[in-house]
Parts: sequence; structure tokens; C-alpha cells
Amino acid sequence: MPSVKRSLVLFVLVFVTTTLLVLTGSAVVRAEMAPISDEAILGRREPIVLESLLARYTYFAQDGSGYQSKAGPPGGPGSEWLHVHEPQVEVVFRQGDRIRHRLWLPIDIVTAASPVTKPDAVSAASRYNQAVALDWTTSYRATRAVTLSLREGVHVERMFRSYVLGLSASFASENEDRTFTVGVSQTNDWFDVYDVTGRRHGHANRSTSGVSFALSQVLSPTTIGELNYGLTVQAGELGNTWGGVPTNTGDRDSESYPGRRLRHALVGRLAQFLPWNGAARVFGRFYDDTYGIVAFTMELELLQRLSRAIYVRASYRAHVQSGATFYTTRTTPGTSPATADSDLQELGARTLGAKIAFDIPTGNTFLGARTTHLDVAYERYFRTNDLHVDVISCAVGFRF
Amino acid sequence: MKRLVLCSIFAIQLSCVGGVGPARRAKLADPMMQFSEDSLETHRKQKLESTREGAAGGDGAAAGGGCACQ
Repeated sequence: MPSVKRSLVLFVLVFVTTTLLVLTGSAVVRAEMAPISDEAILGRREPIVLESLLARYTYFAQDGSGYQSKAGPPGGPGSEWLHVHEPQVEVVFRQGDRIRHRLWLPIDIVTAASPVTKPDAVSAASRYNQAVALDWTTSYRATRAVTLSLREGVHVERMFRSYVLGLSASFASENEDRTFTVGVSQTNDWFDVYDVTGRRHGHANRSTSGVSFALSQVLSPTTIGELNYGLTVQAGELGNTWGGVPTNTGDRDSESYPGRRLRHALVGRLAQFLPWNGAARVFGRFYDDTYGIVAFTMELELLQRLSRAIYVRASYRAHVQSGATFYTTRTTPGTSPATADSDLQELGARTLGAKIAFDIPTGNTFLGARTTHLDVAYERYFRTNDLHVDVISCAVGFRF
Repeated sequence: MKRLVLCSIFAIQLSCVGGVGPARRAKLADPMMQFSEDSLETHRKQKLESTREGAAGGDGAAAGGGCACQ
């Protein structure tokens, strides 16, 4: 019964949000109807103008152990060794004075220890897994105060397809110091099912529906704050299907998940400019879901400008979460739901990071760019349940 | 319920803040004052957190699948 109630609440929220978006759109169109013309709707006719181009490369090197991995002794934790190379490219361009497009192309090249171990659940397919996505967001500035955005994306892996569609509307106050944004999104995943022994069992799918509300506010000439609430409901096959759970008979069983998950997250952010030409950013997040996971996250970033073109950043993040109610490292065969995924265990995580960024004015002399951006960042992520990740990232970009 | 009340109070506080004119916003325009310096970096951070922590998602960001890096 509680799940029916939750679904009803979610349905009402999604319905209200969608209605708000549609009403806003129609109100905007009505307001602009006299005289109706292409120019009245789309703005001045102008050629497509490139605004920015950014490329980022990130390398993730993970090591540790977890009971869901098969790369270990029977009944014991296995290796979670994993390396990811991730290049990304983003292009932003303007079509007239009202329409703006953002194209984003990330590629993931993943090498993981667990699938390499025999019996290999997914054969060579995931030993070296490549994934590519294409994401396109179009924003339409309907009036000075209202901006509507539409996002479509597709994600392709060898055994996995994912499609996302999102719609959002932003409303700015008259003096533009307050913005309220409401958004809905729908993601559909479709993938092959492999059990823990490597047998394939056709296909499965997963649906993720989300609604979010955000309020950002200029609090003073040096302070800005934001509050964001999001609700997500997932249904379908919620595991990767080949993860294993050690059993009390010394064997390994396939993990299984509930068919539905409801997630709530409340996020607060604050940015404060500091008198010595620096800035402090604080982030806080509370999370709760129907797996029984409750989490708190705090993050502090300190930034210091060294010159007009250079700034540095130091960051610290702390995260604590309770475990899923069905997390276990020793299950009875056939028990459902059951998982040994260390990501769903009770854990604490810390991240320490540093970054240096350059925004060099090039005055249209280099590739016609006004500014050239360069940055290099390093982060160390470590968890209380034997896992750490080193992250190295660098970017080069141009503003035109 | 207590959390809901606290959040409501915070939201009301935000709504009561007086306006800051465009001429006084020079410091807010500094890239250091953006919550996210660029969206590719935001993705990089979210990727690590969403694949390594069961408490990811629920905040408007995609919580679907992708990346078989479990």
C-alpha cells in the first residue's frame, strides 16, 4: 500500500509539473502572437554563431575489493580494480538571439577486473567496454524572464542502450536575481541479461522518471545561494544482472533487486566571494530512498585568484550513507532481494582535490577565440569499505 | 516533518532577500562564483559519485544506467 501511495504522489507531482510547463509554453506563445511571425518566435535571423568549444580528458584508476566481484576467493571479497579513460567534447552555439544549442559527446573506455575472472559472466564484451553518448540540449529564451529547454540523449554500449528525454522551464524575477527552475526527465535503459555464471537470458529494461525544482537567489553582491529538490522513481531491472552474492553454501548466487526504487534528494549550495580575491563554495545534500539508504554529503571548495588569468581550487568532500536493507555478504540461495554490491553498503567516503585553471585572453588572435581555457585537476576518493579512486583530469577550451 | 519545516523556512528566507542590482554583481560574474565551473567537470564528478555511492541520483541528475563499471 505505501508503494501505491508513493506512486500516486509521484504521478501527481509529474502531472502538476508537466501541466505547469505546458501552460507556461502556451502563455508565452499567446503573449507573442500579435503579430505572429518567424522572427517574433525565433528572434532575429542570424547565422549560427559558435559560442564555446571545450574538450576534457579524465582518467579514473580504481582499486579495492567488494563481495559482488568474482575476482577473488570463493565466499570472499573480489578485486574491484578498474580503469576508465573518458574523453568528452562540448560545443555550444547560438541560433539567433533566442535559441542556444549544446552538444555533448562523452566516450568511456572501461577495463575492469571482475568480468575478466572466470567464469566470465559477460565474456570479452565487458573486459574492455566502450561506451559513447550523444546529448543535445536546446534552450529557447521565450521572454526575458522565461527560458524553456529540451534535452535528448542516447547512450550506446555493447550490451546496453539508453535514451533520455528532458524538459525544463526557468523563470527569472524582474531584476534577475532570483530564478526558479522546474524540470522533468525520462530515461529508458535496454540491456542484455547475463546471470552470475555467464548465461544470457534475453533482454531487460529499466525506466527512470525524475522531477526537480530549483530556486537560486542572489543574496548579496558577494553571495549566491541555491536550493534544489529532486524526486526520482525507477522501475524494471535495477541491477547489472551479473553481480554475485556469496552464499552460505560456499557458492555464489546472482544478486537481485526490488522492482521499484523511489529516491529523494535535497541539495543546498552557497557561494561567497572573499575579500582577498577568492571564493568559498559550500554544498550540502540529504538523500533518502526506498532501499533504506539515508545519506548526508558536505563539500567545501576554496578558490583563490592568483592573477586575472589564473585561479586555484582546493576541495574536500565527506559522504556518509547507511546500507541497503538487503545488503549481505552471505545469503541463502534463492533469497530475493539480495546484493553484495559494496556501493550499497554502509560506508563513509572522503574526497580531496586540487585544481589550477587558466583563462587566457587571446583577443581573437588564436583560432578567433576571445579566451582560451586550460585546467588540470587531481582528486583522491577513498571509502571506509576498502576502495579508492585516483582521478586526473585536464581540459582545453575556447570562448568565441 | 521537522526537515520539511526547516526547508520551508529557508525557502521563505530566500524569497525575502532584497534585490541586488546588475551594477553590483561584478563579483558574482567571476567564474569562481559559479557552482559548477564547467558542465564537463560536473559530469566527471557525478560519474564517480553516482557509480561508487548507492545514494546517487534523485536530484534531477540522471540516475539511470550507463557505464558498466560496477
